Amino acid sequence: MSIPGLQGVGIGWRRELAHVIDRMPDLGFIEVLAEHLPPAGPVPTPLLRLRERGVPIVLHAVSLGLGSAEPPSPKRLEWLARLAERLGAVCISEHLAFVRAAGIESGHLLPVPRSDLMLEVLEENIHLAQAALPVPLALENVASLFEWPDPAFPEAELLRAVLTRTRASLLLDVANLYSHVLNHGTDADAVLDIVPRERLAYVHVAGGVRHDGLYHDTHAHPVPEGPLRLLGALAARLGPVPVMLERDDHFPPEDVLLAELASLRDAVARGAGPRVTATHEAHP
Amino acid sequence: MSARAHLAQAQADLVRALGTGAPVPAGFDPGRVEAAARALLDKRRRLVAKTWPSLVTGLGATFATRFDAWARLHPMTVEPRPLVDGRAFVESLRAEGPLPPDVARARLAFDIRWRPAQEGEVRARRGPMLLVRREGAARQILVALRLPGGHIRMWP
Repeated sequence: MSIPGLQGVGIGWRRELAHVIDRMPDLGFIEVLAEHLPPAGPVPTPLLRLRERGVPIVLHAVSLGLGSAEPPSPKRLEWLARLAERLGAVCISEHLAFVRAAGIESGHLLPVPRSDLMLEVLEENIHLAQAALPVPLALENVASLFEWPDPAFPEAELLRAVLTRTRASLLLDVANLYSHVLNHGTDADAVLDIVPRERLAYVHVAGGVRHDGLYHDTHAHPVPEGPLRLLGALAARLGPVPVMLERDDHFPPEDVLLAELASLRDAVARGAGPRVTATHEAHP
Repeated sequence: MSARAHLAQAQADLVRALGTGAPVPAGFDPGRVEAAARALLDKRRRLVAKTWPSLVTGLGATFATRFDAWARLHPMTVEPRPLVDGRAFVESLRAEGPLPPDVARARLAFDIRWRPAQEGEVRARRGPMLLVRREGAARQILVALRLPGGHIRMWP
């Protein structure tokens, strides 16, 4: 489902950006990394302040591994559920990825093989997660430099099948999609075409860099034109969509960051066309 | 083997190739899998360098190679944890020989601020504390004092 309360342009909350985020005008929502929060005890003060301001909070996790052959750990699900309650999160987002196997942590968000068996496992894992979580679950397409051999279907079909088989929403990362267009020749239009507005939670945009012929989704470089074009193309299909910037490192000065957020807003407005104006007039 | 067990096996083979340098499983593009492993190592090293600048100044040109060698033997956990990674890397350097003075000071400055917590995490210390150490080739005395309110003084 689309997530009530999520709209406009948001940003991934990071300690290094706390002061800048605190005084950001027109902040649509923030996304907080679950693994960066203390597992118990009080919510960090800057987050409480944002919550008091009425800024919706999304809890974003990387460690569940819903794409693992093994089911998600009840302990991790419990931890995430309690965090979401403490934060008052409007939704929890995770990845269509696995992160560990045979007891070894990979440190990566690893892509899943595109096979019917994987879809069955994903469906079961996602149902288990949803049953344990107090708020809606959104799932994100990941960026990977490599693919599994012999995929049975393209990426668009993987996302479509997950949306068909489960009640999860989609967190569409257009930077990850852009990296797959460049690195694997993924059909971006086919992916954008399978996203129903009522199943889109929100959109991620991040920067990256080309290195040795590969596009790396670093979250540490400026956002290139490519992801913004995909964001515009999505807005052209669906109208205004909630979107946020992920920046994890090499934090730019405040004015540069604000300009980057403005470029997200512009891409949505240009893509959605006159519809945006109509909405603004209806709700000034 | 059940279908799920097959999938588990395939995922485990890929994780071993990425984390420990085991052979890349058949069918994958080895160059791409190696590029992914390298990208993660670069990110991990960059975050440690930022959190522990004294390691970069203290070890100079050997920082990257020594860190990478350590990191391959110590696969990371869920997320890069530069505080924890850096502290464990410093300990491995100390086992190999006297620490450069800057690094010894950084280790003391870390330990007066942070304490080990469960599951390999660190937590901020609270309350007053005094640490005295002899470090480096010259066995220099280093002192760190944590005052009530969290102010820290270090000598020299």
